[in-house]
Amino acid sequence: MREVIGTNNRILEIDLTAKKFLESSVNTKDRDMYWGGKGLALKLLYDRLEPGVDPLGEKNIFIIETGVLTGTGAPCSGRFEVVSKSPLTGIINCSSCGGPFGMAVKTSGWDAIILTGRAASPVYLIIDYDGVQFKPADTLWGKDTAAAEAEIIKEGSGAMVIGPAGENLVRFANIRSGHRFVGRGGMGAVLGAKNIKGIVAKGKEIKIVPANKKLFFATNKKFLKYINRNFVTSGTYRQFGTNSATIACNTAGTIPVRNFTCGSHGEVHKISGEAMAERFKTKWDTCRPCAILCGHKGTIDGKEIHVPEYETVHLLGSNLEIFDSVIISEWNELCSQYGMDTISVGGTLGWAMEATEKGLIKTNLKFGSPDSVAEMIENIALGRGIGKDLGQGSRLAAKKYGGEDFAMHVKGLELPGYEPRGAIGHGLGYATANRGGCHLSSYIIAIEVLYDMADPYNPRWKHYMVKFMEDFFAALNSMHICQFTAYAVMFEPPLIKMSPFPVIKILMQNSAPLAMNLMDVSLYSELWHAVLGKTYLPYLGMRKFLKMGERVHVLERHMNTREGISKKDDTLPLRLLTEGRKCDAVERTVPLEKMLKKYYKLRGFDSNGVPQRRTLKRLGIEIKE
Amino acid sequence: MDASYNYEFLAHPKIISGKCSLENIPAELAGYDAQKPLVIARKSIVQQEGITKKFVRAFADSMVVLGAVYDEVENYAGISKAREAAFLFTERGCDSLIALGSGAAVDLAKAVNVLVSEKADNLSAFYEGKAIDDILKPLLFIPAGRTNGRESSNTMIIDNREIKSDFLYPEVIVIDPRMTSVCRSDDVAESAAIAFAQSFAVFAAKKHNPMTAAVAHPALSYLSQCLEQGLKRPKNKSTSIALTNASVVASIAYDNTRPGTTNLLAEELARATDLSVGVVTGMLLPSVIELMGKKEFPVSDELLLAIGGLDVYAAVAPQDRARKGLETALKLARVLLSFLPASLKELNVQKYIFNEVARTVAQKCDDIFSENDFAEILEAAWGRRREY
Repeated sequence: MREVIGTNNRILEIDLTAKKFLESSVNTKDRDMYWGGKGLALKLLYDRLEPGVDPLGEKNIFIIETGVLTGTGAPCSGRFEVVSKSPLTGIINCSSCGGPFGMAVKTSGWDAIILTGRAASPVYLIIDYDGVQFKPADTLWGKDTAAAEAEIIKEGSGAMVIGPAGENLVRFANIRSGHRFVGRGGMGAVLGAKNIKGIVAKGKEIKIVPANKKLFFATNKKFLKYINRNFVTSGTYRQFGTNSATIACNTAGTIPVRNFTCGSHGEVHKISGEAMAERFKTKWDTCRPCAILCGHKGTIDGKEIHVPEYETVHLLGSNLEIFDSVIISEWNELCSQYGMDTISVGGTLGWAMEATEKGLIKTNLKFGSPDSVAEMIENIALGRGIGKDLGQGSRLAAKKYGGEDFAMHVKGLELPGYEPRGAIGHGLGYATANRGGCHLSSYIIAIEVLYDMADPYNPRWKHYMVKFMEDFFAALNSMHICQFTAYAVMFEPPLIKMSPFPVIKILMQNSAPLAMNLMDVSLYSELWHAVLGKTYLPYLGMRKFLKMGERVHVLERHMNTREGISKKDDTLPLRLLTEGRKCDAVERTVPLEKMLKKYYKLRGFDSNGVPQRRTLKRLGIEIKE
Repeated sequence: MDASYNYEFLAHPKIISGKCSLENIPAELAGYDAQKPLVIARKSIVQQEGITKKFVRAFADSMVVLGAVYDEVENYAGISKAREAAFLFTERGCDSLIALGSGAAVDLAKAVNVLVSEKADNLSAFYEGKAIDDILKPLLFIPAGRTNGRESSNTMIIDNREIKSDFLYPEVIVIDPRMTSVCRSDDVAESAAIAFAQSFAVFAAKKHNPMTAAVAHPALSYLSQCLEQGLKRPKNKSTSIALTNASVVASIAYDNTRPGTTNLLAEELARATDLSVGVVTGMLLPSVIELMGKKEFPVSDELLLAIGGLDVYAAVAPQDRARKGLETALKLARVLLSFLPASLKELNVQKYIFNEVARTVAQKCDDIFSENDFAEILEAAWGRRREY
């Protein structure tokens, strides 16, 4: 087996129209500025994609990028990033996945794969060290994700496939890799439009060796220690998965109920992580390599199922007023088979139920009733009846049928399972997230609710918290390493760890910049430098890391502004801005405008939300006219 | 028979325009035997200093009691808000409606009117074609702020669905300078763009209708006389009342003519991009007029008369009047454009949607323009440079 020190630095550029490929390399400057994963993928896209192209057209470009840590054995690093223009939002979409495909690509000798053009007929691709082979996918076309993956995985060690939803260009179709998904933004439809049923990478052809082994293993050991002693990463997530947050969120009023009309419900305990663990007798079933082990599988009547994640549980559950974990799991399996994002499916079904109730559309969907939901999921995936319009996402469905005031999306991407009227900073995070309604862009709810470190109703310093976390997560996704590790690393520095919790809380509320800068996330930076053998200066680690994250975030924003995004799009659904919730003692809405103004100033954007030239220049982003 | 006598024209609303016209409202309501109106107002209008005070003062010393003021209206008119307001209407025992503001406030008032008059819970039957077959409650409309050109018409757009009925016309439109002068320059530009496009459509229609032309004439005259001043000084009472008059009469004229190219194109593009219809209309107008000039489209001579005035009209040879009319219209459109973004490119509108927009508009419009022409107009508006 070949040994590669550091990373491959090889990019496989595939022209699907001409059925040709070429090899290029990552230039050193880009590697230093954008690291890998999300950052480098965005830079590659920025250099190649002209603004204004049709996301489902031939000119759209689809990039798969691994991280520098992928293949090194670093904890939680078995991930890959997919970047393209989204058919759901019409803007740039980055989506991360913990499936085996990333590792297979990396150990096939490639850091990135770029797909351009469109295949004349359905094909699947086989990637190995020498390049790519095009294989007809006529017999695979129409098969569900599990069957299709089972078929092509025989030719490699990691695969990604689309299901019938991707083939039918459902705008929130996802991509399956193992039992994980490139979930958000309709990346499955982009592949479907390119006539690609799947890609399989041979893998295991090369071995990645860190350049500075001593530093790498020492840091790795420290990292594992942090993960194993944190109560979230080694406790609640490991035991109950992401759905362990349910009870805390219900208490805080941040669960979406009845298409985001309420934030808590008396029956939510029935679908909590704890209840599901007991009911399904769950076992770990995770990404590889993983030290957190948040993914779980279990059994229903002897049949093995993947236990749904928090977002799925709440979008297909509480949001539709369904509190039966078996039914939710069945719908989750159905969406997986067809290859659809459960968040968008749940958000769109929530809209459809309310639209039906208000006489805007005619369906049999009804809040609290599971009847017709499975049938509608099938109709969406197969483009039948009104399912075809629902498959365009809640934004386009609402444009056609009305009900825009209760279509719960931002920039076209349906909102995940947190109700921001119970945590307003999270609302700002939704509004400013580059890809649309995304909880992972800043995940301020962790500070506001899960860790209870800041008043969730007070807008003070929320702009700072959002910016800090956005930069941090953009950097993590450029490493590319699981975001959940942040819980373990952020609170380790002695000053934070030893300070009494009320002191941290007061500090966070009154001087967030000081409190947040007490955190030390330079461990990540240390790992990256260790793999590539670059000189590492510990005191510069965190600054450099966050600045790189800022560069990645602003580059994505800059690319989106070229696609027409501005302040008008950095908003929330009207319901969250104007309607108080009847379930609250005091009716609240999200005071977005106030926070947004401060956020733009802090980010170096103009009043219309466009990055100023001097901001781009400061971050070293090349301006293309 | 002379072809100019073959036409249809319906102008329902009564217009009361001028200083202190608000004070006429109690008498107008009394004419409909109404004494307790529900006021539906745009939040942005009500929030402006003094507006509510001025409005309420108009009812002093009258028998009219305001049932309630529903000021939860934002940019979007949907059934949820309509139901809320209808509930308020019934609870408070109201007998009439006043829409204060424009756009969504008026659409919502019309929807509330249908819900309470037809005793319906939603509008699904009307979306499916059920006709509104009886007289509704009296609805008064007081223009304030940015208009969308539909307020004075027989149309309402609720939840993005269009419902048309002659019963949807407001009974009375009250244009008072205290209410019209609350705009900003961009509001004026957007309202004027729509009014311009609507009245232009009347003169560009294939079939001449003397009545629509007569109504659209003052709209274009007001625009040509007051637009520049109105854009520079939006709070000036005399220009704002003139431009609001232009909007109202243009809307009435447009309601009696076939949909215009600019309007259809702008509505479709705005729907696809989430941009304001007014902005898009203003940006498309020069490209539409230029293409009409290039294709020597036979517009009515009266276009020149309305924009240029009698002296200019008389000074141009009859065979040149149509061409000259387009030239003056283009000049006016460029004045408007100087207060709007110069091009669709400047707004980063994605070009790939142009084909779909052009296709949709071509299906709706059997004008002389083809799908390619629509695409050409969009391309021209995309690449336009600011040169004036």
